[in-house]
Amino acid sequence: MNFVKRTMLCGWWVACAAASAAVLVPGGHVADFTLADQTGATHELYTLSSKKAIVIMTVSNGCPIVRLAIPVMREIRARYESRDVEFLLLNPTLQDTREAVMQEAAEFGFGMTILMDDKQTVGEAWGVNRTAEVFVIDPKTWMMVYHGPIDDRLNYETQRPVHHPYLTEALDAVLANKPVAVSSVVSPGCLINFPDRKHRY
Amino acid sequence: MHAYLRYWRFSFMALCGLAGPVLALNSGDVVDDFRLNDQKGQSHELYYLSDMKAVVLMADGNGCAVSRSTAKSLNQLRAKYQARGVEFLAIDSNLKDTPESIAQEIKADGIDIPILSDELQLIGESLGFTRNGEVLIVNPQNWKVLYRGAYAKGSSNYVADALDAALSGTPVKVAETEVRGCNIVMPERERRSAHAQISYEKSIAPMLSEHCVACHREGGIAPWQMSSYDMVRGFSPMIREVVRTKRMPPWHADPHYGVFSNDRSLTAEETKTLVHWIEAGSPRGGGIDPLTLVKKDWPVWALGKPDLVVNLPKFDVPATGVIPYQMWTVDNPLDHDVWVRAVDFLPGARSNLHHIIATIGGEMAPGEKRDTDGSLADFVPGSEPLQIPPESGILLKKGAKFGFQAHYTVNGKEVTDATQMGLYFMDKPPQYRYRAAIMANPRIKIPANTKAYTNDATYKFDREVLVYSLHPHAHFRGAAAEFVAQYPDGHEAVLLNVPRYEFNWQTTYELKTPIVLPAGTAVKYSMTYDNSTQNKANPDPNREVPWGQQTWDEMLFGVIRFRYLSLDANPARTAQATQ
Repeated sequence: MNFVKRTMLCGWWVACAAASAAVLVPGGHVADFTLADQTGATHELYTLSSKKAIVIMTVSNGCPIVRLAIPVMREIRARYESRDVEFLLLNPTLQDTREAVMQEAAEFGFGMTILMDDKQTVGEAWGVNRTAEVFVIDPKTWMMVYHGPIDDRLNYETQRPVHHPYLTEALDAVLANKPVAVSSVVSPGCLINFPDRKHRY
Repeated sequence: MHAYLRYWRFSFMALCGLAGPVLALNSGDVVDDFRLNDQKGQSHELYYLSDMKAVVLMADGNGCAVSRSTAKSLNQLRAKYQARGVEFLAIDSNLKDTPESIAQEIKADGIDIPILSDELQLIGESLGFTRNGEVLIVNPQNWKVLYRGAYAKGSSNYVADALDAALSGTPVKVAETEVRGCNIVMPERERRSAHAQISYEKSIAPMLSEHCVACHREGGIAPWQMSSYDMVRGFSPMIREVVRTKRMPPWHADPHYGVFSNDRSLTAEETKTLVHWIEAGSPRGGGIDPLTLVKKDWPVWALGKPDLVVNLPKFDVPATGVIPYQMWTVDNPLDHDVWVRAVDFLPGARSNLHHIIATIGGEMAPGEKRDTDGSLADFVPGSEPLQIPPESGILLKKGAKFGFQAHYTVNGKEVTDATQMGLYFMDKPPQYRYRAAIMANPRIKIPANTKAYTNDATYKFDREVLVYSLHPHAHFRGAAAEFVAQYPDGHEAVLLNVPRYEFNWQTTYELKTPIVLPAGTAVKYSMTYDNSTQNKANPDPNREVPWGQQTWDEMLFGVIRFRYLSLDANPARTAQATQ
């Protein structure tokens, strides 16, 4: 009986992990991972333990919201890099090859390391749904403290003045050792195909 | 052992939300965005309601007693809860029901909840609606289902209880109940396994080639290229979303009014095939990949070498930000009058040029009289050249100046645009002038923080005319447009309904069969503006918005292209006044 229960629990766990859209939510613990970037160099998350905060934004090639978010991300990086904040991009798509990613990065001046999550393991574990989703991780606790857009500027085929600079507010809170007030925001971007995620439609 | 297993299977289904045989959408699951027109032809998008506390969706059907009683109950509940931030929408996914028959049916019961017409059944299928009268309550903070089931049973008002819980921020106690209502006939729901057999090679790729690749190609304005199966598969969920929300293909006319020769939309069958293929997991199947064979050479000038090429000024497009409309005046180099039969544009930076409105001497102001028409031609991505009907033409006088309004979109990269306009001339003067009627209100003032403000202007034709095309124009706050003909005998007809106006796509709606309007017909053009924060394009909802050329101001401006039915004795001399 115990054997049956354990086995089935394991089965359910795997199925649930694949089925649930939001596996990791703000407040949750971020497990270590190692991924290669677009040039083939490998990066392990936990080697960034001396940073004050880690910002990771999801990207794909050909997504207008990513292309329009990148210049703002570069500007935020310029302001926060000297304060020990690390900025990375994560491409969890199946279709973008390393060569295509390098071409897109050069054409649109991404200027940041792009982690190639081509097995979609990080994307699945973090509950990534769209591109241009930003995750902020506090390396002191390896807790995810923010998941949402950079700000409320961009939407589909539109932009408007910023009223809520969510990302910089989250970074300011982490750098001041304060809790992040707004930790989860619905984010516009290109839906990413996660074929192994059950019950998508 | 058996009971134990059953218990665990039940827990598993509850935990993972996988219960139900097909497309179930249970408490806790996320409702994907959609946009549908209601029985009055007004457009509703679910995610627009993100400022609400809860959204109640109901499956509605004509001639169903449970549906009628539920709709009446919700109508009463709406009076109580609407002021507290709850929106109510019904969705009719029944194949036999039309917007007209729906309007007729609810009129008797005094129901004023919008009834959305889900004619393709795609939304009803994905919501898991199987019976009319079923209710879904959605939390707009995360778009998860808070409740699904019957309206009430005995003394238990499930919907009111769930709304009270949602409004007070407490968990909904009874989140799923059984519904007894009329079965919704959904043929495709039973054909899920057949959808996995939809051929990418024979159905999907040819459809995309025909409707999408003109923009989704190398050098096209679309951000990504439909260049292979892998690309299409990667963007599949996004394709499904933009189709469900009517963002793509960019065609915004209500299909119930008028037939247009430049219709960019997918047919009903194509839409269903595409969405069902994606919902089946975008299977590759066998055969070649036609998208890898798409032609790489696109014609420079579709109509051949123009008689006159006009160079527009060069423009440096920045990487990001909002760019004001560019207004240019360019000299006409010709030393004699000519009649124009066709106009085409050759964009320099095709990926950034979003529209051009070309005029001769600028659009005419209301009341202005001139011996040439102002309107010349428009460019939007994917548009065909303007080809004026053979017996008509536009007079371009020597010394006239061309006016251009150019709208650029940013795409994360700095580029320089140098666009050309090609003009094609007639050998001899035409029988008719190709004319423009302008409906405008330069005194418009759109109130601040208002979701729907409508203004209109009317143009009365004093002679019998043949109408070729209709063009609504507004800026960031434009939300919906309509052209209605008011005939001399008193009856009215909708010529064009644009339930979701999209300023990014300045479409001229070209009638497949030009229509005759008798002398004395007035055409009322109306535009509804959304000056609220829910309009994601709105730069400042706190401002009362006046008329202005730039996108942060507004325009009530509509154009009808037409000719007189009776011959113009001397087309060049007949002045055209605007009203």
